[in-house]
Amino acid sequence: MLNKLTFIYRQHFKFIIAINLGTSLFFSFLFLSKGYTHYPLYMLSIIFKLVGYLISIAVERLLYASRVYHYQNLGFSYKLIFSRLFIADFLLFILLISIGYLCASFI
Amino acid sequence: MRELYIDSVAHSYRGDKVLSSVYLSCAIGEVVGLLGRNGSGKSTLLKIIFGNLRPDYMYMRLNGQPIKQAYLSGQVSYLPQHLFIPQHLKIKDLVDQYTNTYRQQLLSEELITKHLDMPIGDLSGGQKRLVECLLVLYSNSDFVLLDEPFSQLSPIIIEEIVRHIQALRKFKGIVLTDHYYQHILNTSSRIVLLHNGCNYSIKNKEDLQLHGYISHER
Repeated sequence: MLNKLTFIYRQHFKFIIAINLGTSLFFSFLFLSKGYTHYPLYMLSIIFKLVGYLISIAVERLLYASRVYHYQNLGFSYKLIFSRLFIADFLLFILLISIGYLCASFI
Repeated sequence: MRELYIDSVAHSYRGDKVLSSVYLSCAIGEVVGLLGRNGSGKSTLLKIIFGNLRPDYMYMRLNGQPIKQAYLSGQVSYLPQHLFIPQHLKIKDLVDQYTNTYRQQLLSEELITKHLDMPIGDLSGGQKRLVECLLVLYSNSDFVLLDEPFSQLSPIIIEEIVRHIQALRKFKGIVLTDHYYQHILNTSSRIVLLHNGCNYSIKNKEDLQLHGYISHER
């Protein structure tokens, strides 16, 4: 199952992974340069992440009809594909900020 | 008993009842031919079984277990009427992802081995349809739903698909629908006719005439 899911992400979700990872990296560097005490920055980062997810869903909605049976024949629903991708992306975002915070604390 | 069973299927499109109290079962080793006029609900029924379409009501069991969306079990595959595999994907990758148990059998097919490194989009229309059909038939699932697999194909490719269905019928349950009713009659072990939203068991060609599926002059 993991192999199939990786195949789907690798073949069809490169753009979506790129914009979400790009957002995460941009805000991680922003936190590193501005510091971790600017609370509006947390709000802004969450808003941008949500916008990234909405763009991802909008892009996939355009391609839904041509891909849905391919995903379903591999045993996956759109809900499952997106939920796993977004959860992994958000956890990675939190991890990046946490690592940045730890590094900044020790420097 | 390994069986796909669905009953009490009711579905309507914008108030028009398409299916009403329809039931269907398919056991491993069976090829169930599903016939019906245009708009009789054949494709709708297959989509409902696969889990792509939510009906007004249905009750479905797969190997005795109640289920809602068959595709999530990984035990049911579906060939839609149109081409469904993204055109840029290479046949080698598709064989890897779709098949496991029957991979070697599929790899012994000349059409597959000759075009392994080619994207499926580079094949001709008939070849694409055949490759999609083979991927669905040789997939890991126990039950296969084929929605008009013979449409717009040359007789030689139709014969090829029939040969693969016959080869796999011992190991899988197959539900097959098409308007080439003679192929369905020859290939299937059991025939079901969808008519006026209900299903009828068909024994012979005369039953099809009786229900108005084919004319008496034929």
